Amino acid sequence: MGAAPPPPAPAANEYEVKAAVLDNLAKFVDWPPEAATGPLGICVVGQDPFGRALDDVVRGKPINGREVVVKRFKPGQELTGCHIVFIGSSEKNKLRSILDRLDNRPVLTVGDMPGFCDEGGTVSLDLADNRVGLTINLQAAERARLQLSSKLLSLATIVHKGGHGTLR
Amino acid sequence: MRNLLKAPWLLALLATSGWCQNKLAEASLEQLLNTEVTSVSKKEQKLSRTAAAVFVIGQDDIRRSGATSLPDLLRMAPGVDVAQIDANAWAITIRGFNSRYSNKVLVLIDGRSVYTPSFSGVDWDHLDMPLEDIERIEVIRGPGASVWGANAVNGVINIITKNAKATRGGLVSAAADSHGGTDGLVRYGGVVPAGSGDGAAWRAFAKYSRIAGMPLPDGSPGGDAWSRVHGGFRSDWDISPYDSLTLEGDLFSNDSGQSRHRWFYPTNFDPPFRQDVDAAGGSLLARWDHTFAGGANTSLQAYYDTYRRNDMGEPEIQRTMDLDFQDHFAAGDRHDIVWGLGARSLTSGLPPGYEVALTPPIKTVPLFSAFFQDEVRVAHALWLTLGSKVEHNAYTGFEYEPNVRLAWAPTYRQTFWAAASRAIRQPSREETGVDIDLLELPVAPGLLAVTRLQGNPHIQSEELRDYEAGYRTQWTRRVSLDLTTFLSFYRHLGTEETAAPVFVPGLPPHLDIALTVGNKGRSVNYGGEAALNLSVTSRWRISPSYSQLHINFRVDPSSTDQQGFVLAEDAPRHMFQIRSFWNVSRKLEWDHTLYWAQSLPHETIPSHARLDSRIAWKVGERTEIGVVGQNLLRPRFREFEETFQIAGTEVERSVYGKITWTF
Repeated sequence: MGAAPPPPAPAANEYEVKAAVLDNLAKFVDWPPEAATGPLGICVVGQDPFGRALDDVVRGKPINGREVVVKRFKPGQELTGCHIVFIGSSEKNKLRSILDRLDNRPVLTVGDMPGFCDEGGTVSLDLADNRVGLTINLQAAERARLQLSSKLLSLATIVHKGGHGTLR
Repeated sequence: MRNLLKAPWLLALLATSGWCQNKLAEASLEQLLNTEVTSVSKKEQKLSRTAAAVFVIGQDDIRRSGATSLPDLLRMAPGVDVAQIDANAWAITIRGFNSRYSNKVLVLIDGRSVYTPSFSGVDWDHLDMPLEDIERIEVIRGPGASVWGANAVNGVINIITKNAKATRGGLVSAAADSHGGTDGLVRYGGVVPAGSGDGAAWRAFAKYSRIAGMPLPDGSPGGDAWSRVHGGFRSDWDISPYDSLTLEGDLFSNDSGQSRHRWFYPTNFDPPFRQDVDAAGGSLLARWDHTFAGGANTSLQAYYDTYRRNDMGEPEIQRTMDLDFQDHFAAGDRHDIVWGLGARSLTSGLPPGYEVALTPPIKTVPLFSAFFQDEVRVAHALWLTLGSKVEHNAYTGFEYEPNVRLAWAPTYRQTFWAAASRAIRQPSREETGVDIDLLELPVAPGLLAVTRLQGNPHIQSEELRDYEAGYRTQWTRRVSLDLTTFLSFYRHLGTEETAAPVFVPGLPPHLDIALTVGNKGRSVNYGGEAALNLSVTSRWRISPSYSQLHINFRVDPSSTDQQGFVLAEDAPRHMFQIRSFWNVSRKLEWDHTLYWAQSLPHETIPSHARLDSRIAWKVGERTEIGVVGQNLLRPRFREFEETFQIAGTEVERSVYGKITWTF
């Protein structure tokens, strides 16, 4: 048993990595005062692609002194206690209405469906070259009154998208 | 959540394959963005650790099946044997031993058991929730006793309704069928206080159905038309980010009838006659879920369930009170532990003065239980689950129901699993304390032969030792396959033991033939199930499945039961189905379901096929119009034999139209 070399580690599961990225994002975001205290809610809307990976990754690791709580919501449900909202690709058709309802709320919206930032989402997790890449929509972040750290911005592709053509 | 937690192996449905979780949790954002990933579908992740034969019927399957009753929905799960006896009675089982009172499958609705232990079985006509409110039905083939306890011998059917947060707004539907049946549903949901995000979500429904009667084999009316009224509510309230409270309840009233015989054993002197059957009942359930900061969670649930049923002229009452505690946490990197405690009080009875006598007429018995289950990650992609339930019941005392399960996922796309379990069915009140005349027959002028069945207070639990193995794979994004095989050893199965006839000189003089409930049956069953899911194009999906079952029932040499095998072995040896879902356009769906079951080995039920077809149009965003044809292949056919005095009627070809409006 002892001498056998360990089997080659397989590449990591996409959603295990994305779960860890989601958790990590919180470190680089400052929320406005009304959302800056209490447990930090990471919410998943629609079909949950993470499974327990997300719960595992946040377990026992407070971020900036705040406890992290994972919550799951069905489409159409009121999103409460959320600081980061991940909108799964199952909600592709409802993306606009979900983003509309979150508009002007201090919430970091994250998604991985194509065109997420174009529709007004804040952070898109794109898969390119078998790696997870970040695209950040600064205009959406400003509307949500979120301060993103320069370190985060340096790791991401930046876009400015007003989203869904509403007049503001 | 709770229902998933009840089955720790089902937790796997929520779990990923767990590569280097710790490493990822500690990685910096830069490292994460440089980590190479493989893209896998949710399905693979969900099933990778599940070491059991599970089939999940989702809301989309429910909607597109065109089924109007819960029993018809269950037909789509492979290996589930659904046979309609008459318009309001069904025989439903998994992996054999089907009967009006199939006693080896446990059925739960949101964690509330609807299996009636006093006679061991399920009154399917009591279960009439709006099918639109079901989130999913988890059908587990094989024993689930180590978590769910006694009577989860051949399987568990776990019906989970939608959270009230998912059913805001209104829904109105109306349907009518070609035999005069009608169905109407009104549902509305909201939040209290209105407009708040943090309030308690609620929904309430009222439903009325009139189900047309079906004909007896000779074509005459079966007298089994019925109507039902059902109302209920569910409320879900997130008290805090860590706590949620669920409250749900319902009330129903059924007014039906059936063609029945006077005696249990068929004779030429006993033509069927119509008998009223009516039932009314209700339930109330409260559950509190708490999530701890580390991800551990715990729940406390209490429910009350009662009904009164006039069946075969006997008014039967049932009352159940249940308290259930459950806790789930991870211990270290490798252990995922679930444990729980339960207490239940069961009151059942028949008031004295009726044909069937129970001794004592009304009785309350307690049931205590505890379970523990540990899922251990023993190596990369290899999980071992060990656990047992321990129960104390009023008839056989302590019972233990252990299991061991192993899941190996060598790649993200495939899983091998195996399991060994012991499960029991505890004796029912009826088996321990019944006294009923089964047949009175004149054998000579002035002399009756009276065959009676008597309960046996010393009866043992039926026992199963079960071995299962399975393989699941997601070949490509479009093709998945699930294979299962099982070998099951049953002993102490129920028999009817005869004593020598005794002449009783009373008035009138008669021959007394006493049968006593016994435990002298054994059976070795084996078989398997295969289910394929194939997305032929992005708009067309087909799901074929096949199941095979062999039952070899024997009685101990000391047994006098000559007929037990007839009932015990009465299951189709082969069943096949194929479901097709076609999105003709964004607004139009056309779906088909074809079922086929082989003839029953010892009965007169021939092989039969059933074809259902559904066309549904979406008119605007809020309205759907559907037309469904059921049993299209033949004008009428019989699915199950005469059973428990019920003459049984024939399922007819029918068409119904339904309009659903949401607002």
